[in-house]
Amino acid sequence: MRLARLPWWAIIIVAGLAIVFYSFFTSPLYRRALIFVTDDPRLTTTRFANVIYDVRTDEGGIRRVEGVFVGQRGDILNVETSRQVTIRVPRADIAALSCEPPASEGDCPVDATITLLRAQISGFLIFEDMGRFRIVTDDGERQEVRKFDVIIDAVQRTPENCPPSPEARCRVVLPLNPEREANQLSGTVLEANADDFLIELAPEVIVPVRQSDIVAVVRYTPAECALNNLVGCDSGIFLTLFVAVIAFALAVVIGLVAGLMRISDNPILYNAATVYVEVLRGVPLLVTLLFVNFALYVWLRDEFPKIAPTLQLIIAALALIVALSQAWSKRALLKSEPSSFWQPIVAAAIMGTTLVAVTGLFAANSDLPPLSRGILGLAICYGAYLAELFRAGIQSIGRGQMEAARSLGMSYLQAMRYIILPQAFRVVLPPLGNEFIAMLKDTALLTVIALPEMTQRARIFAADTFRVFEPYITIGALYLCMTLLLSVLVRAAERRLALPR
Amino acid sequence: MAETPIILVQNVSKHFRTPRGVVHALRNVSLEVYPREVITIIGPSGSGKSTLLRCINRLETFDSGAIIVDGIALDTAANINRVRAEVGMVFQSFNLFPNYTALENICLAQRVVRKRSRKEAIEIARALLAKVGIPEKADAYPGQLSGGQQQRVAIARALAMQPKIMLFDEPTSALDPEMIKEVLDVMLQLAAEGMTMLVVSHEMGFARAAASRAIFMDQGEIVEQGDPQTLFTAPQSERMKIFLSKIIKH
Ligand SMILES: Nc1ncnc2c1ncn2[C@@H]1O[C@H](COP(=O)(O)OP(=O)(O)O)[C@@H](O)[C@H]1O
Ligand SMILES: [Mg+2]
Repeated sequence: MRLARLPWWAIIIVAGLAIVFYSFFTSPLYRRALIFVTDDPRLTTTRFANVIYDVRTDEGGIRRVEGVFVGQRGDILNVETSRQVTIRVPRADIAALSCEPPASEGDCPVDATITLLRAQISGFLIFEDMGRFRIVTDDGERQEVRKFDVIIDAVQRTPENCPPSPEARCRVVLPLNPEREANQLSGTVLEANADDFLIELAPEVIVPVRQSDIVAVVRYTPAECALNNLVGCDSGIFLTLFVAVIAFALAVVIGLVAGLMRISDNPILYNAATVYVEVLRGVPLLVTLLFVNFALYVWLRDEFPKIAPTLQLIIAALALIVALSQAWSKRALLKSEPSSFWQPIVAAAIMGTTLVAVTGLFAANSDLPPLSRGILGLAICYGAYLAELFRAGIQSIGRGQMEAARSLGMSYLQAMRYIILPQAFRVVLPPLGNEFIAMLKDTALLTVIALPEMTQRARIFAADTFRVFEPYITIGALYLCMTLLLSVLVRAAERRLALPR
Repeated sequence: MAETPIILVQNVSKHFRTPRGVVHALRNVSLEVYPREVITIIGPSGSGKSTLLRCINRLETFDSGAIIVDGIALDTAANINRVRAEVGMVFQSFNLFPNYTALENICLAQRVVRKRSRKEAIEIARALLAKVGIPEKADAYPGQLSGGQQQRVAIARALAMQPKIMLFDEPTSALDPEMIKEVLDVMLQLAAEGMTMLVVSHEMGFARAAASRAIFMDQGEIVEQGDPQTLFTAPQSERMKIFLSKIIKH
C-alpha cells in the first residue's frame, strides 16, 4: 500500500540518470562520448588564444608573430609558434633507421636526431572509411592512417575480416608502403626504450614578445575550450545553451511586440501581427529553420542589399507622413501644451531614424553566418509562440484593471507598465519557463543546418565510431538534466511570485 | 443654485455596436451637476447608468453631444487625462491592483500622475487609510482584504488624487450585507465634507440621508428626477412606479 504511494517516477528517473553518470566514470566509451558532446572542457589549460601580432624588431622593422598565446610574465607575452608533436614508434615496426651523430647499428641515443622508415603500424581498428583507418595503438594513442600509405592487400586482421570496432575487438597490422614519404619520420629522440622510441617530430618554439613592441594585434581568438578558458568553448553543450539563451531573449522581444500588436485597436498592427503569428505557428519549426537557413538567407545576402535603399526611403517617407499628420491634428496644442504637441512628432522622428539605420546596418551585414541563421530561425518561430502567450497573459488581466488605472489619470503606456505588464508577467512566467525548456530541446533541430551543437556532435560521434547507444544516451541524459533543473527553477519562481491572499 | 455647473452633459447619445446588433445605450441625455451636489442614479439593469458615468470620465466615447467637466471639454487626449485626474471613480468590482499593497495602491497614481515625492505620497495614503477606517491594513494585499475593506481602499485610492468629483458605480452591490454599511459610512462622510458625487446605487437609505437629487434612468433616458424623498414616495412616471414596485417587492 505504502509502496505504491512513493514517487516512483522520480526514483526511476534519478536512478536512470545515476546509471548514465556512473557510466561516465567507468566506461571509456561513455566518457569519450561525454567529452565529445560537451566540447571537452578539460580541467586546465595553458593555451589561451590564437594570435597574430605585428611586432617591432630591434632593427626598426616589423615582423609577424603567429601562434598560440600561452601566458604572460610581466611585460613579456609568450607566443608558442610551433607546437611539440611526439610519437612513439615500436622498434619492431621500424624497417631502417639512421642516427646523427651516428650510433651503433639499429640504435640511437637520447637527444640524437633520428631518421627512420616505418614498416607497419599495429593496433585495434576502431574506424574505417574509404580513405583512412583509425586505430588505437598498443600504448593507447589514436592514430589516423591514410589508406594511400598502406599496402592494402597485405593488411592482416584478427579475427579474420573483422569489421572496425570501438571496443577493441579487431586487431590489425597495417604494412606501410616504403615508397611513400609519409612513412619516413625524423626528429629528436626523447626516450630510447627496450622496445620503442619516443620521438619529438618538431620542437616546441616559444617566442617572447615585449608588449610595448606590439604594433598591431591582427588576430586574437580564444583557442581551446577549457574550464579556465570558457570563451574558447563554442560547440557542444556550450553552443546549445548559448543558442537557447540568445534566441529566447530575441524571441521574448519579438513576442512582446507582436503580442501587444495583437491586442492593438490599430487594424494595420493587429492584422500584421496576426498574419505573422498564424503563419509561424502553423508551419513546422523544422520547415521554418530550413527556410530561414537556406532560402531567406540567400535572399537576404543577394537581394536585400539591392532593395534596402528603396526600403529606407519608404520608411523615411512614412515617418515623415506620420509626423506631419500628428503635427496637423495637434496644431491647436502648440501654444497651450507644447509637450503634447512635440512628443508624437519626436517619437515618429526617432522611430523613423532608428528603422532606417537598422535597415542600413542589416543590408551591410546581411551575409549571416550559420550560427546567426540558426538563432534567427528559432527566434522568429518562438516569437510567434510567445506572442500568443503574452497576448493571453495580458488579456487574462481583467478590463477593470486598465479602466481603474486610466480613471486615475494614467496614460495607456503608464497603465501597461505599472499595472498590466507586472500582473501579466506573473501569469506568463510559468508558461514562459516551459517555452524556454521547449526551445532548449528544439535547438537539437539545428543539427539539420550542421551547427555543431550537442545533437550534431553526438551524430558525428556516432558516425565516427559506429556506436549509437552511447552518444544518444549521453545527450539524452544531459538534455534531461538541464530541463529537469529548469523546471524545478520555474516552479520555485512561480511559488515566490504568488501573491499573498 | 446660481453657480456654474461642474459637470455639463448636453444631448449625449451613445450606441454600442455588438455582433447581435446596435444597442442605444444613451438617448439624448442632458444633465447639470453643481459643485457639492450629491446625486443618486437609479434604474433597471441595462438602462445606461454605468455608461453615463463612464462617458463623464471618458472610459467610453460617445457619438454626439458634449460633456464639459470643470470647464474642460472632453476632446483631445491631453484633456482627457486632465479630466480623469479631476474625477475619481469607484467601481462595483473594486478593481484594486492585486500586485500592490493597499498603501502602494493609493500611492502609485500619486507618484506617476501627480509626480509627488515618495514621502508625500505615503503620508497622504496613510491619512486616507485612517479616514476610511483601516489604517492597520496598509501593508495587506487586496487578496487579504474583505470586500468592504477593498472598496474602502479603492475610495481612498481615488481620493488621493484630490478629485473635485467622485463617481460611484454600484459601490456596494458586490458586497455582503454586513459590509455595505462600512462603505456607505465613508461615502456619507465624504458627502458631508462637500464632495461632488454621482452615485449609481439602489441604497435608498443613503439616497435619503445624503442625496440632494435623485435621477431615474430607463432605456438610456433620464425619465424623472427630483428630491429623493418625493421621487421614491410619489413617482410621476409609470416606468418609475413599475421599477419601484419591483425593487420593493422581494
Ligand atoms: N462594452 C459594451 N459593449 C456592448 N454593449 C454594452 C457595453 N457596455 C454596455 N453595453 C450595453 O449598453 C446598455 C447600457 O449598459 P450599462 O450602462 O452598463 O447599464 P447599467 O449600468 O444601467 O446596468 C446595456 O444594454 C448594455 O448591454
Ligand atoms: Mg452598471
